[in-house]
Amino acid sequence: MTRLLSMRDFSFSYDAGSASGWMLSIPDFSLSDGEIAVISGDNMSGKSTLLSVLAGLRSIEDCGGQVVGSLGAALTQTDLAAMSVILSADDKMFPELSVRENIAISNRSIPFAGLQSSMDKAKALLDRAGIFDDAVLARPLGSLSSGGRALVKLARACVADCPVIIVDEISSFLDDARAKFFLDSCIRLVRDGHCLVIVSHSQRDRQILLNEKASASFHISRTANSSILSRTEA
Amino acid sequence: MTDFGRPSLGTIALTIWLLLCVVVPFAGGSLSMSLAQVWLANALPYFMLSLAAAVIISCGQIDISTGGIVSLAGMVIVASFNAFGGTALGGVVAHGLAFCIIILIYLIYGYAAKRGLSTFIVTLSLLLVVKGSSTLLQSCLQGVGEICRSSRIMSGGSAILPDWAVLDFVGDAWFSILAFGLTLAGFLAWRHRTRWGLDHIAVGMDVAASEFSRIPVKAIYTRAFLVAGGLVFLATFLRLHGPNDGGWSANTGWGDELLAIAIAVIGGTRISGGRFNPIGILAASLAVYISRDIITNDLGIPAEVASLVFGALLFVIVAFEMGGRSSRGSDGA
Repeated sequence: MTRLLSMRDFSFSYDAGSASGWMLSIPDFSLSDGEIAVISGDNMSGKSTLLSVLAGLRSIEDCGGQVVGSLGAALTQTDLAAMSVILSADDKMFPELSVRENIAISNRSIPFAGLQSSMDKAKALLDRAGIFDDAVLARPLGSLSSGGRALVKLARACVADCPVIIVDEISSFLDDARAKFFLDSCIRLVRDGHCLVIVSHSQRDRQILLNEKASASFHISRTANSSILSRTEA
Repeated sequence: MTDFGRPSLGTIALTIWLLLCVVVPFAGGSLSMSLAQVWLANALPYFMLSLAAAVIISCGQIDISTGGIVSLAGMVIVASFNAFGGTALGGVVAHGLAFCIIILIYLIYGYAAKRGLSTFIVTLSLLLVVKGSSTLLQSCLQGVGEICRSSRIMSGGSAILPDWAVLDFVGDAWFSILAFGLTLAGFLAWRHRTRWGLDHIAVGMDVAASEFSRIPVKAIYTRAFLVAGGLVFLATFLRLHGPNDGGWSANTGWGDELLAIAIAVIGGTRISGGRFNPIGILAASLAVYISRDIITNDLGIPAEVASLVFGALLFVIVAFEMGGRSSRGSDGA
């Protein structure tokens, strides 16, 4: 396994120093390829904040500590964004664009003209889900249900081909069969060398993921003005 | 990457409008090849300006200064040409200078958009600056006004290019058709066959979702303003060397920014961003220009009433287009 990133004595805060301020502390957290990190936490504890930091969606310039990459150098927000793909519980896609365009837009590394093989891969994945017709790629994303869109997000993650896949509570949109398909697909990606960071409150999902050999469970607990991420027993 | 859907109500309405623009003068006996040639040559700069407006609007920004910039750029070209004694070198310098001024202005807009400033306010401010500059330049060129009365460099100049610099072919039908075709093909390819085109539309639809998709939002804004700047320069060039026969005045182009935005919206550009249709903009440019010509010349409506009639016509068309869009939902950007 190659360590992709690690955070030691790292902290992220809002309104630091004020009475309404809040801080998320991360004493020790690391991610390696082929690894699954399953995260749970209280409401408002900072799970989505942690995911957005890992996804490079927030500035980490003013944070305490550093995020260190595989070569031992500090990673920037841009580095984190380049190495990850995030599947948000909110849609954060483009309902007016077709499914094909929504998938194509997530692959930043392949020239636009060379996307056909990625599309074939995405189509094969969506076909395996067993609920889409042949014309699914041409349909506007907005015509799909929440569950359908969740599976499109999975296809985006497959096509994006980033080392770190970040999933924020998505399987709750899916029926049992599709939720299992979603998790199995994520596990397949991990076995192919990706790293999965997933927030889930579902005991079933957590159990499936934590049964994998290279998995670890984390919990974020919140007190009045701070939260802390700690490793827990699976 | 785009799947073209069935034509929208707005597209059908625009097509009928365009057909009427041909049928009415044909029925009135005024339609001729030379008239069609004039229409094409005059509508071409409007097409460029409307594309510029649409490129900016479709990524979620706005520019209300294009007319003023056209005015200043044309005046800079004419003034520089005269300052260099109407030589070929002067022509190159004049056009280069105008191009650099336009690009500088659009870089400022791009920077403002990157910093999250209101481009409406920034472009409004610069609209006033460029209009003032254009007027000042004209008064200096003529050696009049408080500032330039005693100017020896500019006094006696005229706001007109030397005869040899007027490009007659710009008024030819083949040139107009070629320019329309190449521009249309380029923008269709850009929108539907490039990542940049897709990213551009996506940013106009939803900035937060674009950031989640790793689209370089700030770079998209900068590129959009630069492309618009290039189009505004082309519009100025075509107008100065073509329909205007090398003549220019400080108020040339004033008000065109609103017309360009209206044409862009009629042509299928959503004012809140996320939709860009070069074919629609081409059709709207022709329909709007020809309609204005028919209202003023064929129907004999006095100029002061023509603008009123034309404004009302635009309002009805835009209202119809908006109504059609809300009832049909998405039709692909």
